[in-house]
Amino acid sequence: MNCMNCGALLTDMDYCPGCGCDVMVQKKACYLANLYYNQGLEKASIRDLSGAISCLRRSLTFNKYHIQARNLLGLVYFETGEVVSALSEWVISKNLQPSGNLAEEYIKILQANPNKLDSISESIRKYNHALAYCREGHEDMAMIQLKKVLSQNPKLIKGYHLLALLQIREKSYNKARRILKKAARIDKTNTTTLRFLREIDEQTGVSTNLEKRGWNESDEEEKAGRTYTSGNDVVIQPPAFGESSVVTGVMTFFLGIFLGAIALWFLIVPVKTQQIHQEANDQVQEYSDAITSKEAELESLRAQVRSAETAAQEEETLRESAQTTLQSYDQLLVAYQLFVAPKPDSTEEEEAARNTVVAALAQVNRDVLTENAKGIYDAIKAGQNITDDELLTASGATPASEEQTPDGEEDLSGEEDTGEETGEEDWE
Amino acid sequence: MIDYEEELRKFEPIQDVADAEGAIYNREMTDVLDLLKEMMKEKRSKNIRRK
Repeated sequence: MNCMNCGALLTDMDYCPGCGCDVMVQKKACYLANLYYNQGLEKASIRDLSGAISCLRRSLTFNKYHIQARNLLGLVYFETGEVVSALSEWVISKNLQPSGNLAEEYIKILQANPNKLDSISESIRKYNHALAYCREGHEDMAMIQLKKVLSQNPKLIKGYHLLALLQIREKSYNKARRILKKAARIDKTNTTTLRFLREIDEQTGVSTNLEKRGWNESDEEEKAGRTYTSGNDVVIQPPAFGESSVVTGVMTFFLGIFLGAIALWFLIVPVKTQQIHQEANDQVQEYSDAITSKEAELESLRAQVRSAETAAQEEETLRESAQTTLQSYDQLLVAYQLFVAPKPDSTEEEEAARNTVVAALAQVNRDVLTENAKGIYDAIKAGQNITDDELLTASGATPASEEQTPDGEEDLSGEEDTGEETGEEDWE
Repeated sequence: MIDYEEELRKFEPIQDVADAEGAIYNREMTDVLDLLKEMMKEKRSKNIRRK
């Protein structure tokens, strides 16, 4: 250390050996600068970047020539995304100590990658645009811009803060919490991060856990052994270890297999069984649907068969009716031919012709004839003096006169055949 | 409760890389030792005046 007055090398004494100036305050200042540098280094190593910045700036307040503190301050600024501040510290450091300075290396690394520097510069410009959008009331545009900024420069703490503030404004507390957690991973003790997180905790009623989840930390502690102080002594507790032997290994192996089998039985088998049942149920359902559709088809075909049978019966009935009509006309023609033929000479022949006419007319169904044919039928019947009983006898049916009751009551059905009776009476 | 407008006012634009030169020149470089030197100078000048 040199005297601030004359530049002479200082000794352990509180006075300068060159000029006799009181250097106790200077020494105290240098001592404090070193102290704050050490504290800053310690905080930077545990990612307490805000605390580190505070300590390193104090260190430089006491001694601006503390190159290590200045270089570390630049590094911490760079880590928080404050590239210009970092570059400023390194450039000043390089000017204060041109040779053997780590700041020169930092500047060279940064200058060697111009794309990275351009990207950082662009992200800073975008952040400033986003801030302007916020002030103009275009919060949605600002959010889009900030997301781009953070994807481009994920170390920019201020970007996280501004985005979190916008999310808090929109009451998206969980999103804001996630953003602030990312910020807290870069800088653990940033006051803005912690203040916003406390606000989110108050609003949601859920406290934010900033500790990393995982078992590695405790495992590492166990492996490394625990260290604690007892008075002035530092006690290092050796890590606990398990006794390993062949028997233990084999037992562990079989225990593992057993536990695996149990897990298989209780976790995988029920799932497989359920899957098989599900497939069987699906198949049954499929077959059931197929049977239902087939039954519907069968019922439809049966209905078609019934319809066809009905149509066939109607056709048969019509055919029979037509046959009866044809036969009736045939027999009527036969009877008419005999009726209009010249009278035979002998009585026997005449009687035979009459019988033939009766037989023919008996085969005629009068109901199926037309009105003209009915007239011919009635004329023949009247001309030959043929009674209904004769016709019935000839057709093989029981005559109406024979169906009379013993009391002498006539069957009313016989009286309904009007015309024949009248003709018979006329003939008599 | 966070006041959005008030919080927004606290945010300042980040200096661009192009403005790094200006930032360096405007940096306050006074430390405690500079103040001590200043105080010693003042003390000396006062002593000279008294003499």
